[in-house]
Amino acid sequence: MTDVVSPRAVAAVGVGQTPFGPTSEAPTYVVMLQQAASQALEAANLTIDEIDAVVLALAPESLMGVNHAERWCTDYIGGRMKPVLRIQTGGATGLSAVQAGYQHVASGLYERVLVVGADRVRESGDAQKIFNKIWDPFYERALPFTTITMIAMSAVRYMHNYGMTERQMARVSQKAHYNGALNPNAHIRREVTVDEVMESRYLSWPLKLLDACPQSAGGCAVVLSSADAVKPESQSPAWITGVSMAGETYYIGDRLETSERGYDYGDAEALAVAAERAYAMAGITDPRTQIDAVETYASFTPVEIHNAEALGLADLGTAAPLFEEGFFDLDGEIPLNPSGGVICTNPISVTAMVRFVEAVLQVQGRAGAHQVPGAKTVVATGAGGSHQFFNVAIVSSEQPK
Amino acid sequence: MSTPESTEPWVVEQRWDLTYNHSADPVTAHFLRTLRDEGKVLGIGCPVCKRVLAPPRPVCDRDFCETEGWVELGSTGTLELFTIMYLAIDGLPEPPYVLAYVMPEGADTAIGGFLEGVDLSSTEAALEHLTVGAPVTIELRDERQGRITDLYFRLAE
Repeated sequence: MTDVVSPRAVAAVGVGQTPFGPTSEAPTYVVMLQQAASQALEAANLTIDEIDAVVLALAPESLMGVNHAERWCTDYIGGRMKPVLRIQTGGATGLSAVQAGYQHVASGLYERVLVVGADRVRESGDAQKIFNKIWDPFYERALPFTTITMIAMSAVRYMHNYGMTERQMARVSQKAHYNGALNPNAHIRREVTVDEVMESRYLSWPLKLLDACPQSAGGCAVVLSSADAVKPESQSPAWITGVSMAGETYYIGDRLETSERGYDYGDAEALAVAAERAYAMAGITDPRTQIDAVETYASFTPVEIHNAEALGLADLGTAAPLFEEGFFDLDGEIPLNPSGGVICTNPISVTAMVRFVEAVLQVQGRAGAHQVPGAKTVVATGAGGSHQFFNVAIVSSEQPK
Repeated sequence: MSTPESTEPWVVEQRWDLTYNHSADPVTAHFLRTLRDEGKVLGIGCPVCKRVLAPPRPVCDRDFCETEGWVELGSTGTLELFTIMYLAIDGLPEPPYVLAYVMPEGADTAIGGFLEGVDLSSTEAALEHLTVGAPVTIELRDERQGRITDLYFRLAE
């Protein structure tokens, strides 16, 4: 890649999340946007007039059911007469929106940017029918693929390559639910045992109901600021020290040969690529010692396992036993998804933004019952397009030099 | 916000009922036409990386160049990925069914399709036969419609 001018330092100075839950109990789509945005502005001690530009995180609008919905949303995100940009990269949308906001500020074009989004995934009861429509009309849609079958196939490949068991996947779910029960904003707040996960019904072998994320509703927002524009009355700034993204080939059938890195469809190679770039930007050379916690986008339990490897927290093919040993537990070496993660909460448009917001709360020391003591550097990741678009952000309590 | 007089939910039902007419590019159209009319499964080459892409596409994702050179693929292949789908989804086939990706002999990428002929009454028993790397045959339906589902897979005897 060509050299670019050094980006300006960018900090999150206020975050907001509505409590996540079932769509039937959530406010209207646009109202959740306004609620999350107001929370973030209040936390930043800013008014909407002090915001220079707005980025809207809105994944496929066929879920919330209003086409070109940024029209309707504009009034509820303070977009009147401001630059408004809508971002859509599927499940990665929330972090892509943060990345766009980061670029707005890092470029020097804007001082303060509001990044906001929401989702109501069960607005239509036909979410998986909608997800079948993300496949091309000629070769794959008729088959019928969904986001569930795609991750199931990746898990099957990973099991074949490295011997992962369904019980190891269940342990990831047990950890997720334990953490989620501590998080007041989580959708699912109920502990489960490994046996309960094992006894839950199959969705698509080897994935069971309790290996899977729920369909959530809620809103999320972040105010990003340049270093110069940080107000002393704002929340303590959480600095974005690295941010990156990588897209993967669309056709899954093209991802079966072993790559130069040793990855195939059982792994998350594009996440590894995005992580390498973000780590380089943040000066992270040894993720296992330099990262205090990770919030990673894993809509099903086996995704969390291969993500841990792609993020450099374990060697390829070795993460599953580490989950069993508690290495990634809340009190483990590197807590993975202290918030309970996507297994407990999945409001698709903002799921990846919630990863970022949770990383911010961790480095601010404001994560409450799921706080990782002394967390200074936390990684947030997103994944969209049924494992096609991956992004990574590094959040630090210390301003980059 | 002022206090509402009633908290009874106010729900408006809406339906999207849309029809699209998708035009296939010439490469895709040739593949589907040949599959329907001649019962042949074709791949196409990339002049740069030399991979044979199946199903064939007009552009190589890696080299960003146009593909060229049709290759007739064999009727056998390797099971690369599979899952047994148990979840019923409105508008999609009645579960359980097996979805799979198979690398046909002569291709460097895999084609998605249904894998048929496996008794799915017991997951455990089915998994004794379904394994990554298993040899499969690529079968064609008698009544073909020019769709990817004109082909399907069976575990080799």
